[in-house]
Amino acid sequence: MTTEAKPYKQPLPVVHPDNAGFWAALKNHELRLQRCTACQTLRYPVSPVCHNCLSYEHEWELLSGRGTLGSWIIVEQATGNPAWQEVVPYVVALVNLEEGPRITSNVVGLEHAQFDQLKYGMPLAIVFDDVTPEITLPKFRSA
Amino acid sequence: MAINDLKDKVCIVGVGQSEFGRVLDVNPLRLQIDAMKNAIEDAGITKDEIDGFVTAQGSPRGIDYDEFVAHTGLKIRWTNQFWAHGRWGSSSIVNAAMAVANGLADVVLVANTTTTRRGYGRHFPEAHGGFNESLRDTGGGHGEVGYHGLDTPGAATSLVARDYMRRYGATSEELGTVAVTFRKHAQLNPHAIMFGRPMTLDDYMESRFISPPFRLFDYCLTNEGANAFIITTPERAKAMKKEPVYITGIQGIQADRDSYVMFARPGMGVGFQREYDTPPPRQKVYDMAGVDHKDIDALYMYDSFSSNLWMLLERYGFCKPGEAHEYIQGGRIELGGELPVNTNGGLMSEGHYSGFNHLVEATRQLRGECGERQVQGAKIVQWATTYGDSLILTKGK
Repeated sequence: MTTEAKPYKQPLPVVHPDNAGFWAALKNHELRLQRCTACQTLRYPVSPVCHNCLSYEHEWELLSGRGTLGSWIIVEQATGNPAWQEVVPYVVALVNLEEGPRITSNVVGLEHAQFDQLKYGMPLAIVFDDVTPEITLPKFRSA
Repeated sequence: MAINDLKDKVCIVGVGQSEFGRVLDVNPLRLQIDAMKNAIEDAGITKDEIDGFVTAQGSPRGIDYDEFVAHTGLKIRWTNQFWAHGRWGSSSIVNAAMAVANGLADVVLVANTTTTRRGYGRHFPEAHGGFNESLRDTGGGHGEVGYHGLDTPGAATSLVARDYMRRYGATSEELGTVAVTFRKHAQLNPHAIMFGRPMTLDDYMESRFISPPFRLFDYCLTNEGANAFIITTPERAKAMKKEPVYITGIQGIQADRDSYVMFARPGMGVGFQREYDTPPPRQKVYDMAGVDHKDIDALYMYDSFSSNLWMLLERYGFCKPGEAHEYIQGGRIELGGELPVNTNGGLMSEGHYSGFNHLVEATRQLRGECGERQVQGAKIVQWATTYGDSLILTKGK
């Protein structure tokens, strides 16, 4: 997906040294999460520490980008940041990644009239959305 | 000291509220002082008797303990300060109770104020240095992820409601029972923001979708106002004006990766949770109080969103996983029913005062002060949130 010419107005993630690896991989169009090198737990959310063994050690493991659709909603009216109201309706989804973690993301590539194609458990594949020159958001489409 | 040693050792002896309204445009400091004055009057004490203070800072901006003390001339020897979120309501009361029971203070004021960005809050900078909780690496306090457009508690919670309805076949009409019942209760509460504005199930079903399955009326109100409490020991209460209400059961926030998201009960499989249908273990609040579900005369719960009631009834074991949507039908949760819930109108129809208003109502119910909406013979009431924190309050003996 290419960056649109118009400026991106929606909120961006806060990137800091402890989560920079996640966002750097996405910019490279790879989905990577931390694998604890002490106990092998796949870490989510991105964190300086393993929630299982409290080790700081990890490797950024390349994931498949495949998953299935958990719960999802269609936001009809965005009541938080007004910038989101400019792009309603849109889909927010919980995506159960093939490797285990469940991440919050968006399902893209469907027109409004196609939202009824969303089904619990349907296979999804990652889409890398380059929303700014620095930030790429991980989103999903029907696979 | 064991937690059960706190049973009935501390009581609520005064409650007070400010004016309630969607936009009052009154300094939250003044609202909190109004609530404090009313609580002091209710308890029959003077402000000089207060030597402890707990506050859960309101939203988006409340009053810090030190500025409150400077403005009011209180002389405090023990204080603590929590954050704005409904789960800090019982925590504030319990913290005051622990201080009183252990002699850190004799008479504690607990106060909370809510203001809005449309009201007086527009004069103040954002709370917490402008940091947006939804941009934490863990997501926000309710599972929000702002950069994916999930930047409100309501949208996050609608993910839970939707999946509950899929899993258990619950309907929009069954969800509507929550908002309609609480609105009905508010018609008996002149202090409620929605007093004089009844709502039918048809009205509910015709309201616009915000984040389906949530319609407009599945959301609580946003508003301004304050609540206050006076907490002390039963011995000191004897010299005060009102019948004491005892803190009989306590259970803290249950915080772990299976609990802490989106107002879901454990097992819903949202956020970091595992997904399962096992009924929860018996909640310790009942053991401490020595009561069972059937003994609860009225239930007060954090109803920021309608589906919270389903989550809560299943979390605390009033019914089994998947049953709550049917359990609440047929008038069971209405005044006069088996388990009246949020007789004040709740956050949805009295106002969103983080549940501090529910705790005021619970106290007044146990004193028999609620007039038309009085739960006849109320002796044992429970406050609870979906995050697992709960209080059981009982009538003075």
